Amino acid sequence: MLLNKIHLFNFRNYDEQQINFNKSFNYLYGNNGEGKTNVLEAISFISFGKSFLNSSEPDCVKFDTMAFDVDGVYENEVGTEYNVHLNYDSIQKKKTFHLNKEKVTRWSNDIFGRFPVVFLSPHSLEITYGNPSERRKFFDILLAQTSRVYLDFLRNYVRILKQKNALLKNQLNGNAMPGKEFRNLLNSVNEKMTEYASAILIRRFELLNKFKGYFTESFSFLTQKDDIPNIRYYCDFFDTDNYIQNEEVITDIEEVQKAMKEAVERKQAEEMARGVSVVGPHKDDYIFRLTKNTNKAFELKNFASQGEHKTFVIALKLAEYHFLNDSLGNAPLLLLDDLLSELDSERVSKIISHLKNYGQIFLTTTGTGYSKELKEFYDEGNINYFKIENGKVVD
Amino acid sequence: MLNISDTLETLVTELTKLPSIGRKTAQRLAMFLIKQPREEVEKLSQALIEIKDKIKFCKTCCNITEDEVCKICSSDKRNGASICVVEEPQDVYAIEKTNEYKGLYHVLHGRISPLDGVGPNDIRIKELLYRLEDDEKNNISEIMLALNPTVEGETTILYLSKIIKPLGIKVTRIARGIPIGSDIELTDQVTLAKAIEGRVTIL
Repeated sequence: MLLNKIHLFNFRNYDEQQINFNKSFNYLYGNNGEGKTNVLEAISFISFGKSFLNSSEPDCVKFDTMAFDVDGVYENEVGTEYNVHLNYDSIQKKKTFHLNKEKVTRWSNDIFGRFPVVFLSPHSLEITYGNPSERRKFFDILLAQTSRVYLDFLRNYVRILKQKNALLKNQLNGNAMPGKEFRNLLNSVNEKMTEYASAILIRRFELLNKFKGYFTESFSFLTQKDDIPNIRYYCDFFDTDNYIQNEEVITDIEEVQKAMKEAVERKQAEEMARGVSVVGPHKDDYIFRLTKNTNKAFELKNFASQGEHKTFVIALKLAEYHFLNDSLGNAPLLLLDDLLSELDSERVSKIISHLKNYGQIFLTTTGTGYSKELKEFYDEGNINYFKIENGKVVD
Repeated sequence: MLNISDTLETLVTELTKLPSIGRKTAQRLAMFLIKQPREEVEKLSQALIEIKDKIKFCKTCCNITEDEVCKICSSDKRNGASICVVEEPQDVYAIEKTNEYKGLYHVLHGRISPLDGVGPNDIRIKELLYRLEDDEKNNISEIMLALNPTVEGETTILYLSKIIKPLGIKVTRIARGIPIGSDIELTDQVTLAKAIEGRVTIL
């Protein structure tokens, strides 16, 4: 996909701004707080339906106004244009999305994964530094874009998890139902939960297996050292290591179901005493490890240097790009927010030299510092510079 | 906003208590009623009172009725060996319209949802069990579960099948799949995946 142009209206610090993008490289520069990242955020709204930075919609409405609009024109490989329009009304608290002037009612069915975007910003470091939920989110979004069925399982799982927690809590707080009904209902809820959970797990294993190939490749490109990165899936009740070593996909969903069922039974007393569900994929984690040339594997989260974290995150994001490109058959937009200021110059040159292998790129930075390197790889017609000042493109 | 009339305000507030009626719609309805002749409004208010006075729940299937036992339950043309369990009375009408189902019904009036404080004892499950245990004269051979394919509907299906199974009665659920007259191409991926999962052998 290509994003030909975007039109912002009352979005963040923009009054009204149309930007016509270059089909290959878009270089947005300006001082901090002038509105560079806001452009990328607007792109995330029309391709993803929400902000990558997890900002709430009311925060994106320009001060003293009631609503914002983002319009975009996408173009696919054969030149078909898609008009997308997102409006958020802060009075009705309502978000509406139009695709080619038609209102989209089933967002996830009609849009999700259609305009893929890979977003790399300083916030992305949360993936390696942050809580397990950040890592699950990274992989869940990746998977959901390629499998609508996975998204549905995930939603159902979240819903049944809430139901189970409510059931356990009600029982604890004196709103108890008779013992027999409670047992029967808890068993039913557990059974349903196990069904969704095992469907989720099987798909996560499959994804990780495929993703690792992309990841190892991106990683080795970024570093000269013989460090070997690895991603493990950590699940409390199911040992995924065997399967990961053999690089085989476990298709036996019953085996996973049985393991979870046993774990739920083991932990039932604890769950009832605490009034909260403690078994399931909402507790899982992806463990990033690095094996140094000293042959010692260590966990990234606790032992890596900042540089190693960054390399890992960039490799994850580049792998995300290639994975989506291959699975969707549709080149994602690559949004690089303030990325280069975080890296040493050697790595920057390396990344820049590599960028021409990607589709359309949007890069924000505070200065014009990298324009020299970029000129080596991009002809004048293939790069557009946008100077951004106080919510306006001035140059 | 200036409060023109307390009486109007009361009506608007009452109307907004109805499902899917917001304040704006309530105001429009109220203004419409004000302009109606007195007889029309009397007819409406009479109808409202009457639903409370006359409409009851069927003693057997819990569907709404004006009699002790509803017309379906008291009919001798229905197949008493099969009970179709639904969430709401309107589901009965939807299935009746097909003219294909000749058995009896049971209306649960909801679905199990601990988040909303609805447990098995808050919907009409006991009444269903009573019917099944009273099987000497009923001779029920199949319970068909026609609940909505939501997480709550699915949980209720599982719960019901767990408690009905020990009674030795066959429990079925209606199939999920592609709507007739629609294209595979236009069917959403989840429905399609369910349809593939529930495929049947033809030869």
